[in-house]
Amino acid sequence: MLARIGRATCVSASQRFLHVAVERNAAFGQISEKDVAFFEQLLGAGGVVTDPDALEPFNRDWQKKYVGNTKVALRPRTTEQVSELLRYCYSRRLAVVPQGGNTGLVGGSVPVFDEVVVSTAAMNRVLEFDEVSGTLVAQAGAVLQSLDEYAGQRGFMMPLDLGAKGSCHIGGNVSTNAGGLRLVRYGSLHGSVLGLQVVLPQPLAGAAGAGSGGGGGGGDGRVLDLLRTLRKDNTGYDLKQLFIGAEGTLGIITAVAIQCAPRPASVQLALLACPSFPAVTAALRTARRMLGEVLSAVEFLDSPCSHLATAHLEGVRNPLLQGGAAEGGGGGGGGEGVTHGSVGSAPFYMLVETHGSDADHDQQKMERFLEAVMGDGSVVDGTLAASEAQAKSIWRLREGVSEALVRRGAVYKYDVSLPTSSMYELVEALRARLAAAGFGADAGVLVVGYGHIGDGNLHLNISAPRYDDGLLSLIEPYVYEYVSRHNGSISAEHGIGLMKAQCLSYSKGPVAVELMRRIKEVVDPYGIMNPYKVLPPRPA
Amino acid sequence: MKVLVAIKRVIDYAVPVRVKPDKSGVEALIPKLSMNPFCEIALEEAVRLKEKGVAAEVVAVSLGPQHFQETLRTALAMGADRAIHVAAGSGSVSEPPQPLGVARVLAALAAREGAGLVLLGKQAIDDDCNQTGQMLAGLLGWPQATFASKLEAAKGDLRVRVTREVDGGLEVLSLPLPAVITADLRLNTPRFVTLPSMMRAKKRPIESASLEQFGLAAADVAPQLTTLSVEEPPGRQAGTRVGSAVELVRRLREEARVL
Repeated sequence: MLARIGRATCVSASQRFLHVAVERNAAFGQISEKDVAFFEQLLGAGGVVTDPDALEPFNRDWQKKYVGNTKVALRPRTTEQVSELLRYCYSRRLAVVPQGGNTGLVGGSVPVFDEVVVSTAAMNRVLEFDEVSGTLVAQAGAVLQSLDEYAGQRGFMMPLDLGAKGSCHIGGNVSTNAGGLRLVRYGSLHGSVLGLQVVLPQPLAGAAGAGSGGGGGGGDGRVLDLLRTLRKDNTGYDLKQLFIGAEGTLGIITAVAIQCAPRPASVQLALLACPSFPAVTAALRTARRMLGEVLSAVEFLDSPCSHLATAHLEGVRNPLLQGGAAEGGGGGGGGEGVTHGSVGSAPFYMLVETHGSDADHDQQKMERFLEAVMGDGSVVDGTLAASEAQAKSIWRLREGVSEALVRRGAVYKYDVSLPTSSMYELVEALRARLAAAGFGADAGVLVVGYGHIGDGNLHLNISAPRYDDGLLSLIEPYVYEYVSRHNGSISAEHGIGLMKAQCLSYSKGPVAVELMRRIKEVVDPYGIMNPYKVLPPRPA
Repeated sequence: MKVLVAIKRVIDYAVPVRVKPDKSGVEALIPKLSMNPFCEIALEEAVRLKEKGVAAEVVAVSLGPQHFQETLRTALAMGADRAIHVAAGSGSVSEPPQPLGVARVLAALAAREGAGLVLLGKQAIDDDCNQTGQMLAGLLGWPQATFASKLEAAKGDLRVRVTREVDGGLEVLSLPLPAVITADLRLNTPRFVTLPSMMRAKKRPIESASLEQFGLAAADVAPQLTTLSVEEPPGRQAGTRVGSAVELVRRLREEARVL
C-alpha cells in the first residue's frame, strides 16, 4: 500500500508537500480497542487522546506541511509510564513517534501513517537546580522558555535560545540537537547537556530473564540512566551523545540535565545595515576581533526578509528604515518608532549582541566596534538598543522571518552549513535559476537568505504563492548537490526528519551511514522508534 | 520657543523585579537602567516640535546621581540640543529624587532658561508618583495638561491644544503658553537612535549645574517621604466551581463581598 506523504486526510488540501513515496511497514501492528484500553488503564483517560479533532495538532506539524494519521496520542506523566508503554508497544510492534513541542521543521515530530504519538506535554517539571554550579535537571516536556524563566529567577539562563522557545520542549531540543541564536557563544547541546535519562524500546539489562515481559518493575532494563550533573565523567563511551540529535529514532528522552550559564548583567544589541555580503563578513570578522569574549549572537538577514517580517507580522518594524519625513510637516503617522533621516533599505542587516558582566566595559567595547565598522564602510547605518523594549523589537524582526514566510504562502525551507564568505552565493544562484525558469519575482516567488552567520549556517527559503512540483524539482536536488560540492551540511541544525531521510548521503559517506544503521538495529531491532525518518533504508 | 524636557533614569521596565527580603523596596534581577519610558515619549515629542519648527531649542534636564548622565547622553542622541545634569542624591538607585524636589529645580531652571514649554513623562515607572508635572505647574503658576495623548502646536502660536486621556474618554484643552504638559503612552512612539547620532552625542558636553546656582539648598530636594515597607500583593487564588446560581449569589455576597 503506497501512501504519498502528506496526502490530505484533513481539511485543507492546498498545502500539501509532495516529497517521496514511502510505504507503510506491514510488520507494524495496528491500533485496536484492546490497545487503547491498555493505555487508558496505564495513563488514565486524560492521558489518552483518541478523538479525531483533538488528534489534529498531534498529527500535523506547525508549518502544516506534514500530516499523519495516528489514531491515538499518549501523554505520560512519569518515566515509569513511558517505560511501560514502550514495553507494550514493543511487544505489539506498534510504531511510536516521540513528540515534544512539535515545532520541528523537517516533519520529524509527526506520524507518517498511524504511528502512536507519545507526547511529553505532561512531563514538564523541574526536578533539581543547583544554584552554585548552575546545573538544571528537568523532565523532557518542560518548555524551554519556562526553564529559562526559572533559571532567570536564580540568576542563570538556559544555554540555548530559539524562535520556538515558547512552545518547544527541552527533550525535543536535545533530540534534535537544536542550535539557535546563541550557539556561537554557549556552544551546542553536545557540550551543555550533562546527562540524560532515556527509555529504550527494548530492555538491555536487569529484570530477571529476558522476555519475562512487563508487569511492575520490568521496565528497569529499558531505562538508560545517564542523568548526572557532572561536568567531567570519563567512564566508558559517552552514550548520551548518541541520543543528542538522534531525533527520537533510538529511544525517548524523559529527563535532561543541562548546564546553565550565568545570566549576563549586561546585554548590548546592535542592528546594523550593510551595503553588501562581503561587508557583512567583514563586519563579522571585526566583531570577532573586537568583541571576542563578550560576543553572544551574530545574525544576518537580507532585505527581502526584513520586508517580509514587517509586512506580515503585527507591530514588527525595522528601526533603520526611513519612515515619514524627517523635517517639515512630517510629525506623527509614518514616523513611528523609526530612526529619522536614515538611509533607505539596505541589502543586508546584521544583529550583533554581547553578553557580559560589566555594562560600562561592554558598552565601551561595543562603541569601539561600532566606530570601527562605520569607519571602514562595512556598516552604513545602525542602531544600538537603548532599552529592553528596543532590544525585543530588534529581535522580533529577525525571529519573525520564519513565521512571516509561513503566512505569506508556501515555503520551501533549507538549512545548510556552508563556508561563510561565499554563503550567500547559493541564494543568488538559486534565485537566478528559478527566475530563468519562470519562477521569478513576477510569479510571486521570493528566494531569501538569513541565519546564524556566526556559525556558518544559512537558512535558505523559497516563498511561493502555492506548492508546485515543477518549482520543487528546480530546487531539489540542486540545493543538496551545491552544498555537497562545497563540503557543507544539508542540515546544519534542523535535522533530517522525514524531509531529508533520502538525502543523508549528500553529507555522510557510506561507512558512516552503515554504522548508524547498525546502532539503530541493536537498540531498536523492530524499528518502532520514529520510523521512516533520518536513516535511509538499505539499498536493495 | 525653548522646550525643557525632564528626564529620569530608572530600572528598565522590562527587567523583572522582586521585593527585597527586608521589605524596604524592590530590587532588579538584572542591573539594567534606562530612560523612563514616559520621559522618552516626552523627549520624542519635544524633538518633533523642533523638527516642525515650533520649538527652537530642546533642553533635556535630569536631577539625580552621577550615573543619570548616561541617559542624558541618550537624550542628546535622540535630538536634544543641550543636556543639563543637576547633581543630587546618594547615587543609589533605590533612592531616586522625589517629585517635589525635582519640581523645585525644574521651576528654577524653567525661569532661568526662559522656557516656553516644559514636557515631562506623566510618571516614573519606579515610584509611579504622577506628581512632578502637577507640582511644577503649581510652583510656576502655569497652566497644565496631564496625560497628553496628542499635542497640536503651530509655529508662532501662543496657545497649544492638548488631548488628554481621562477615565471617561478623551478631553481636549486649549492652553496658553508657557505651560506644563505631561506625556501619556499614546502620545508617540519614540525613535531608535542611529549610530551616527550616538557617535556625535558622545562628543558633546553635558552641562553640570548645582543646586546653589538656582538658589536652592540640599534640604529643598531632600526626600519628603520615607518608604515604610513594600510587600508583594497576595497571590492569586485558584478559582472554584459553584454548584448553583443560589450558591453563586451567596458566595458573592458573603465571601467576595461584591453584592
